[in-house]
Amino acid sequence: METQKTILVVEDEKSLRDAVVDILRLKNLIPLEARNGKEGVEVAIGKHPDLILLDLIMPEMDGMTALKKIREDVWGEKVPVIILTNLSATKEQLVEDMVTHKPIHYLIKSDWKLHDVVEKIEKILEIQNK
Amino acid sequence: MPFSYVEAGTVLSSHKYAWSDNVGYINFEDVTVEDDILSGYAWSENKGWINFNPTQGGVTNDGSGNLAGSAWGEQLGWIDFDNVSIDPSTGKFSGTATGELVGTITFDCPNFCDVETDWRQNTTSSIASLGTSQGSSASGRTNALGPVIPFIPSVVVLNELENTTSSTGAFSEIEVTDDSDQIFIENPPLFDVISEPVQVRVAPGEILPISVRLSNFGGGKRVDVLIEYSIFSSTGKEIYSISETVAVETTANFIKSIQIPLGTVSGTYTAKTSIIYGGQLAPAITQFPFKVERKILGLFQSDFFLYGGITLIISFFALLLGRVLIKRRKSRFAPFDYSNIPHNERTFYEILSDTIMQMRQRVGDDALFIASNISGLQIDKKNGRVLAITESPAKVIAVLVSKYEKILGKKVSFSLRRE
Repeated sequence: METQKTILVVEDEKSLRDAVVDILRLKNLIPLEARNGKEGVEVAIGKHPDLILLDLIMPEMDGMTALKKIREDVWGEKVPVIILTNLSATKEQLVEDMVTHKPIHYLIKSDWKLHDVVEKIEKILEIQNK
Repeated sequence: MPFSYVEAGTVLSSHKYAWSDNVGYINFEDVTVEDDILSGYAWSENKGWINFNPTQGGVTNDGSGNLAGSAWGEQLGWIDFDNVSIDPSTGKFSGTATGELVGTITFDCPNFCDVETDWRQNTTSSIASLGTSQGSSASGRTNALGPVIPFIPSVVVLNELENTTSSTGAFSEIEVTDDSDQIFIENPPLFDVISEPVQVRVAPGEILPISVRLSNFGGGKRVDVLIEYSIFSSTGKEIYSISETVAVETTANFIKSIQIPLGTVSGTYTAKTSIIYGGQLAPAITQFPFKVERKILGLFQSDFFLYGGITLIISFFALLLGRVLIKRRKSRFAPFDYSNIPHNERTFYEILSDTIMQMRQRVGDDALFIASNISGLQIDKKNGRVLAITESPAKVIAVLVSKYEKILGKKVSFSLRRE
């Protein structure tokens, strides 16, 4: 029997976080929640989720800093990350960081429906299983 | 059985003038010649009317054309017709009539003076028969299969024994010498039937609606008409028959529904409608061809194959066109291979290339134009392939994303290729 996959949702906006968590449950995935980058790093290092859905602009610690810290961990080097943000990649440093830390997707929230985002998550998990 | 009859005659309009020495031409047009008397008036332009049936006189006919007696003219006094006769076989007047004032009236002189009547001597003769057998008196119009008699006298006397008829229309009196076995028919019915298909193709088990029209060209009372509907195959075999009786006075229009038997084989059939009624003189049958065809999924077999074939051909070409378009689109938007680019720069090339391609899919070739004007970026303007990055790659990407957002109003998402 296939073990259920865990997804860490790092999102400061509660309504969006709840919506993502609900839809993940519907898809028979186990959601983990973090309200900011700091919590996100802690949960990620502690629980080793199968995939991380990461917002960029958050209080206490932003998403890119959190991603850097996760990548510093041996386990975190390879964990698939999807950045889901409203921040366009119009800054040189942001592009540099993206290329350096390699999230699988950098998705603009306004252009994506939640179902499509979850579809991408499922696809990545499928590839991991192969 | 023969009839004898008496006929009244009139003076022919082409032979109507007699000649008087004293008063000139006299017009006999309004004189009527009967077997026993003459009646009516003759007219003299100079002396007025001459009455042939005055109260104290009159001109008689002995039945053989020999006239006697006197006519009376208002201005001419008595005119004696004792020496006048009518040829019983030709109707020509001859001899002379005389009177004190009129002088001598001549009926057959050279200059437009000849009086003739269509009266003929009383005869006993057989009358042309109006037989009950088909076509004996029929002419002209025909119905579906048989003749239709166009003229029906108002009263017909029919003697069954000798099968003869006569009409009162042209005779003043009818005298039947033997009245045994006579049948009097007043305005006998004469029906015509027309049947037309409401639809010319049905499936086995379905209803064939037939539009039926019965018309009575005779007259009289309501008549019970037996209508027989039959279906015949192309080989002439009857596959179905049903009959019904309808009461008709003048016309009847209705739709008759006939259920085609379930096991009927596909093919061309004939629907015949015939009628039978009392006093019928001629057969009346009407027919029309129709087709029986099986249905597939609610469509007639031929339609099914026709429409199915058309649908298949259209689907085939639509599929072919779709595949061509998809293939073309795929080839147009296929990611370029940058394996020749050094590893530390390759990801930037891939991000730039995929971003240009993504935007080209969304807005068209404007994406190529915008990208080609970014400082530090060289692309193939035809397909968007990144040829070279001459400035900081991260900066080039940031500028390109920024331009797309500002010019096209579109934000850019990225998907990094897996290594």
